[in-house]
Amino acid sequence: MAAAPATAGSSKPASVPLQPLPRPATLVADGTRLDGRGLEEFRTVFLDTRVISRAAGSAYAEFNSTKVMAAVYGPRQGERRFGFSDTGRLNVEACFTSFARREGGRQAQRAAEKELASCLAAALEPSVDLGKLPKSVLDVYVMVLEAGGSEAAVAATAASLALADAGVELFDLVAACSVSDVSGQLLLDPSAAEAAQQRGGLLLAAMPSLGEVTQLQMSGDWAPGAARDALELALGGCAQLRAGMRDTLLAAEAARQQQRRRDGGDGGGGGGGGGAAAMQE
Amino acid sequence: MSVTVRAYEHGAGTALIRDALKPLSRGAHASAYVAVGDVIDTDDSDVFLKGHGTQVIGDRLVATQCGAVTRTDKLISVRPPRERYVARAGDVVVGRIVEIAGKRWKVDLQSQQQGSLLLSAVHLPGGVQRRRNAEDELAMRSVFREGDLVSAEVQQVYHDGGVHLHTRSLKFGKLEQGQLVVVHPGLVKRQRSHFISFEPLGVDAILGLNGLIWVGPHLPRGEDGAPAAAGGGGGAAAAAPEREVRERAVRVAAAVRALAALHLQVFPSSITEAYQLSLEKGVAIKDVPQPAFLKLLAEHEAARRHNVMAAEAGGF
Amino acid sequence: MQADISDAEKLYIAQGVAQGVRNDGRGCHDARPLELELGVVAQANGSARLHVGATDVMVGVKVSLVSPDAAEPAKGQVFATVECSSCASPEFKGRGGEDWGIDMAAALQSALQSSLDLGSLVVLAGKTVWAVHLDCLVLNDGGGVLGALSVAARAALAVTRLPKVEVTMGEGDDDEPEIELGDDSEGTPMGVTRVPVIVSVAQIGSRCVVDPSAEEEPCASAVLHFAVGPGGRLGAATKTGAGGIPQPALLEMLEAAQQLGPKVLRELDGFLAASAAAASARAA
Repeated sequence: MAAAPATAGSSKPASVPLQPLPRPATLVADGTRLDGRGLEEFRTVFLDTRVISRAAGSAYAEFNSTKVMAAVYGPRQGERRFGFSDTGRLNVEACFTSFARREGGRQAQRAAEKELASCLAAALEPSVDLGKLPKSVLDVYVMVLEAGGSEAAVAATAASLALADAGVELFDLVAACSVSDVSGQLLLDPSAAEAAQQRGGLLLAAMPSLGEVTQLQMSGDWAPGAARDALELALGGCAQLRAGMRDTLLAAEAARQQQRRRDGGDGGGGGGGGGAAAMQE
Repeated sequence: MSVTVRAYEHGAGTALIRDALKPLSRGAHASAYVAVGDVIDTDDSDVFLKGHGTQVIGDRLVATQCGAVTRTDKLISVRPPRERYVARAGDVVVGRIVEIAGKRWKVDLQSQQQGSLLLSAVHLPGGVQRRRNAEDELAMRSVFREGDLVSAEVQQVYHDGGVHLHTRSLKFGKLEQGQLVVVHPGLVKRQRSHFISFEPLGVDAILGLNGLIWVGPHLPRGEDGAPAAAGGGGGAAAAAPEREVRERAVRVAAAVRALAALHLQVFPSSITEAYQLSLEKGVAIKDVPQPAFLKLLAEHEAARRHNVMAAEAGGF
Repeated sequence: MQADISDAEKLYIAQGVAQGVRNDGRGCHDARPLELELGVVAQANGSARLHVGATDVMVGVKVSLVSPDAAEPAKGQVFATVECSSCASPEFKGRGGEDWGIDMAAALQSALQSSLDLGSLVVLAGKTVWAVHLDCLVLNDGGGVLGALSVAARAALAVTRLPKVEVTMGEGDDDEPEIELGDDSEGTPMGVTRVPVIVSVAQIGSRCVVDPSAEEEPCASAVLHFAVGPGGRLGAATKTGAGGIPQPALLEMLEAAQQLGPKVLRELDGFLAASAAAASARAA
């Protein structure tokens, strides 16, 4: 479906239709995936915090071609219409940038945003000590800049980092990852091309230090035993990811302290130190 | 771990009880269903009292509501089957707190209007009747919160329909350690006491005239009716009932549901009979409200009414 | 949707579950009886109404001929919508019921898309396929609505008949083939053997209970909904609720769902077969 090139002399540039997603015949050969990873390896992970200065807390997560930014505002006064509540409320909103996804019109995008928001809310709520925030609301805004596979998992990870960055009292960090069953093989952190050909997909968000699962979404078709294996693979992946998140947060804090010492006493508390933790297996 | 899939029958409970009681109804004493405007058979008697849901047009008694004709001696009235609860002063009711607004709690009674429970009408901890102050108003939520179930008495019904409740006696108040069974208000009749204790079972029940029934394990009460458990309201968190007592309480609740499914009156002896029957027939608690046991219960009730009518006839 | 329930009632239920006694006398692994009516909507190609406890749901199936999706020319399509009627509960009025309905419809649609034999819904490859629309209506919420919808959907699909289609190829090479719909009375059934039922398992305290009722749902820290097919195959899963689930509990809940799902399917299929036999006996 290649577009005809613009003829000479026409003032309007020819529009280039989106190429359909390439569907390579073999995604896995001899235990190596197309991008050179092993079956149980994450993509290159880059995590950063304090990327949005106005927000109480923020984070950026990039897993190769999946890029998500998250910001946390609050805790602030909840709206009256929700009535009295002993515990705080977590409000999650998600949006995809118009260039984030390959397919789908506005309608499909809106539906996907709603679904992502409710998925994230369920994933994050168990980690927040809402009992300490009566009558308050925590707003979490997530923006997917590029959707290259496992967006929900990356978004949950970014949002949890943002909550930690905001200083909200958390029971634990939430790490999330996806697993795809492609022709009987379980692939951790699938890319979009791999997920498009999956027989079954699984998203798991967990609080690894507590050993608790906060969100589970499965789709497709799973043999009884395969489901269990996929769950265990995902739990292991979450534990790995959490270690990376912790390093990011500590590095960011160390950099900020260094910055403060350098600035001395002239009110320079500004500028987030970027702590980048690149995970290579 | 069992699963049942069966065909749905509309109004199965009603059909069961109707079939069971059909042989018992005869002549003018039959419970006929009438619609608005129907003429009611008065047995050609000139002396009758017109009750609820009827009016006299000319020399005939005409129904003003759809429902069953009930005759009590000379009083003929029509009881509609789906009446909403109408409060009267002195009624014992069970309601759920829905809102706290300016020195009063709003209580949902499943009636046309919410009941009002004023701060001044509540028994506050501290025992002594004292003036309510501003702190009490701020602390209202610590007494009853939104969602709590309370038992109360209707203090007064105003002409605009407003219902005021009170919990001034210690036997009223927040309900804990039990479960709620909702039945049609018409199935609960006024009695001497609505606080029932099934002694040998160790189960208590509160029969709210608005159709809300509370069933739970027996909570020991002092002379004045106050819960004798340590810390009164905090007793709920203290001691969970033992498994046997809980099973009996859950069975009583299931018996109430079974009676409601058959549109039978709910009062202490009917509950006890349904309970005993379920034990006799070895019915598992979860199967009590199911069609198989309902049939047995309907037949049991028919037999009981037959005996009562036979005794009356024999007495003449 | 959450019922209004007091903390005292929740505590009583939680303590009961810990002892293995639920408020309606069920054990932790007992499901409520399912009461099914088939063919309740005459204009639909298939329909069913299900009562579970106080929950009342209805599913109607309509099929229509459409052009296939460009990306999947040899597959039919299936769509599900769930409407929570305002008559069912005052909480449903306005937007509240809509969001809940959208979430459930997405879960049902995803479960059906991966289990219905979409290849068998093709009339003319690349040109015309069947699109199956499931319209679900929640008439009353007594807990376990998603599970009830899945059972009703499977039942409705099982009694759906695809009208016979006659395809006459055009005379010339360029002529469009003509498609004629046959008589409604003789139709072909759809392949529903792999369609799963959704089993809900709630975590209350440290125990898990299947098929939570309306009063048990607010007591649960989390509920997992598993789409289970024959043989314990897992179709889809979602979690609702704000609590975390410890890993061993997660596996226990998975196990419970995989045990109960096939039982429900067996009983349901038995009932459907018996009704079909009774219907044909009546027709004879």
